[in-house]
Amino acid sequence: MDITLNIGGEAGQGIDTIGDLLTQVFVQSGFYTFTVKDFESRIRGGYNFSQIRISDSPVHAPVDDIDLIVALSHDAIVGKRNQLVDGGVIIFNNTIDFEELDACHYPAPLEKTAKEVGGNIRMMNAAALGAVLAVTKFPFKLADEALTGIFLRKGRKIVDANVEVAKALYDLTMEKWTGPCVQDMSDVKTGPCKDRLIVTGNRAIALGAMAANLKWMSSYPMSPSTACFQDVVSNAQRLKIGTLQTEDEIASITMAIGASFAGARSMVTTSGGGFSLMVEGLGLAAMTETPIVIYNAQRPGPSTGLPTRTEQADLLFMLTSSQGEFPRIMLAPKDPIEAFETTTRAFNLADRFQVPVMILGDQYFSDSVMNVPRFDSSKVKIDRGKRAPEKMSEPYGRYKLSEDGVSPIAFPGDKGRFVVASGNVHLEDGHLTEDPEMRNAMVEKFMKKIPYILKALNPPEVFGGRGAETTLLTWGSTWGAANEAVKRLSNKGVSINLLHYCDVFPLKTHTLTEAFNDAKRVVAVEQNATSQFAKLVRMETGLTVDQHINKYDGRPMTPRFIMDRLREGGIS
Amino acid sequence: MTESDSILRHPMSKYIREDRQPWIYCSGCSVGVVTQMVARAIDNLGLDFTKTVVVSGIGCTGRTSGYFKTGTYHTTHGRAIAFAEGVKIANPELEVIVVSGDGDLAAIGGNHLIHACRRNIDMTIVCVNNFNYGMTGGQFGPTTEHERYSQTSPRPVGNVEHPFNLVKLAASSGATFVARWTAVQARRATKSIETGIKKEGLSFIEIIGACPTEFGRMNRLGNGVEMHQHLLEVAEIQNGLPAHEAELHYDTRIVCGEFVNIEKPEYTVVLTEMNERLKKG
Repeated sequence: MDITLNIGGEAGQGIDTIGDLLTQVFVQSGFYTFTVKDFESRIRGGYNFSQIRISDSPVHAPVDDIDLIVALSHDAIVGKRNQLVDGGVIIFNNTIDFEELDACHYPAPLEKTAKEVGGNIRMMNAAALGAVLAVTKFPFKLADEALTGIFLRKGRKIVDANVEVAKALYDLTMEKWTGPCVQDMSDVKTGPCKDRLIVTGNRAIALGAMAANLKWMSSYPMSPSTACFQDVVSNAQRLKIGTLQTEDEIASITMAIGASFAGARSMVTTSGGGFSLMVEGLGLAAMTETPIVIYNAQRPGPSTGLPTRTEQADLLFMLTSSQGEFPRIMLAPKDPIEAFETTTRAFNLADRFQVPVMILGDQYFSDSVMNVPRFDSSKVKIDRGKRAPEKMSEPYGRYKLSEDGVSPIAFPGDKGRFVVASGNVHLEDGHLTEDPEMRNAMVEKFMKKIPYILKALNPPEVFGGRGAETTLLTWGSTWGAANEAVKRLSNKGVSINLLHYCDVFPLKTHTLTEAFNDAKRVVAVEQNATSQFAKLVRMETGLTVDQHINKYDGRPMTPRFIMDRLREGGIS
Repeated sequence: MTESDSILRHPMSKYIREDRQPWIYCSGCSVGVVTQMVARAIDNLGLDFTKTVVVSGIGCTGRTSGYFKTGTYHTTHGRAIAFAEGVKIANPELEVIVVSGDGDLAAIGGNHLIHACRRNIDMTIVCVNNFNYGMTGGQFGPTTEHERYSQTSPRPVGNVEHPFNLVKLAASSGATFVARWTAVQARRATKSIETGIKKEGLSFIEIIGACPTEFGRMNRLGNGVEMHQHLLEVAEIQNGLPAHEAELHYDTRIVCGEFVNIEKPEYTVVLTEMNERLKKG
């Protein structure tokens, strides 16, 4: 089973609510789901959609083919028609004025049923659910149990009302609607998936941060990162996390550095435009060796760009941002599962090496919804790095030179020591200096950290077996679509595999060199126009990628998009 | 140490890193005087130095933090207040004092200044206003008066812009304690800094200072002694005057005093109280 539903309409019509309910029903029934959100930068009107892919095996990317559309506006009825498969169905609210009816169209009384049976127009989501289930002949009993699970928290009355509305439309459709539907799920039983936690990349990052004992987050709202900040704010009281919505991103990062200086594990969330303002603070954190985690949910730029859409085009910007040279760590989790683990790791790396750690997401990664196994926060290890011992024979110096470049950290208020730090070049005790030898020593202190950081990072992963003729090279969220393309092509007998990076910088090169030796051709697949990761690879290794697949329209990569480009390049 | 050495020691030297001296300041500069005011205020209050953090930005006054024998942080230009907010909220037990100049706090850092005042986070901001950017060689700043000369507002036109009145700015942005003194009113200024530190809320104390090397030279205001004499002559003490009447005309009248001392819930206290309330609820 592999079915894709598209719920479209205007902003403010409740597309998300319908999408969430459908997702929950299928998750509760034991299926894997993967939902992408496509919306405009506006609060009301326009044409937005949620696209849910449901399968009995894990799914990590959206596909182009749509089996079923639920439309709440005229635009949504026609908007995705060209992607509807033969035998697909467009269910729409019958109050919408639409006359060019085809066999695929099903005008359903969604609003009317919600009002008449449920007594509340907000139950249109249950009505839409009933229609979807009936059209696909999904056994109502399964949905009934799922609805109970979803709404029981809100009381039996709410459960019953929702079930009644869904059932009313289900029965009506079964009785009245005779159109064809490519999907017949009448034989479907409870699916194999036990993963019931429904999360986005943003939420997984927030959960990871909180599990890592985050104590400070200062941010300025910016799509698509805002949901992560909101998640932390909602839990701030309970978990005693200092959160502050600042006047700008300069303040966000500077405050976070202040909090980290005072001993709190600190993080900021933003998108590329906000990160532009944070660059000054990035340098301050680096120079003062104050641990900090920065999450950039990328969106297409430059400038305001496409605020609610996706791109991976900040890689080289983040790599080289700030004047001067210093070690930094960049991590790009591929999905929410990896995001949780990566975020907990980010804090440990920041503390161990006292460097800025940047997590790169993108709107596709940040807003996509998946059901995943529960995260186990009890397994999260917290490593705060080298602390200055309580008893010291000599006066404390925050920047004592050491073999690995890392100096024991102390915080203001620690007994019997003063912590002195400066954004200027400084002595071991933190006071500024212009001495050339000390300058050299401090630069070398930075550089000494790099081999240790490299050792602590995760190597890239190979998917689809070693020694293939063609190797796709990906980083971050493009993994899902690329991995599925590799699987599909392999099934057709194409010799292809995938080399994927989460820990993108500093770059671990060993596997990379091997992959370039083994493969006839390496193809970079990136959600940007200039193959930034391929450039990084060449910069660090001299290895040149043979072909490039780029997407920069702001919409996420799909397996078919990659396969089409590969075919154009002679690989199919 | 010989006896004569100890006689020569300054009474405030116990708070100051003598190993960092001599000071970087020009002769006739007010920043050293203000450093002493802060040291005396700390001494009079008997603050626990291990729980005190002095934060500064960039510029001549920005260098002050490095002279204190306490935890200090020398931030980037304009960011002292933002950094200090993070420190204070992350650990409210710390006493946080920001010492920086008018260019640092009111131009590049102006946004942080007004928003910190609005939030009312418990910290004391001591702003040395010498009417120009000293460290970069004497350019006009956000407090430079109209038609004054500087490297970037040269003769014959002078400064086309108009200055901020920092007392009015801080007061209207929500600071709970606001005062202004000149560098020559050391005793009164020290008292205000003490009040500011004791105050649970954001305190803003402006100290009008002299920069004979840059601002004074370009505007022919005399040497350091003459400039400080002038400050004494034009200072007019008006304690309790509404902040919006605290005028500042360098040539003729600098209204000094404590203008705002109001009660408003302090940020970290509100946070703690909310936590308590939620715990009980």
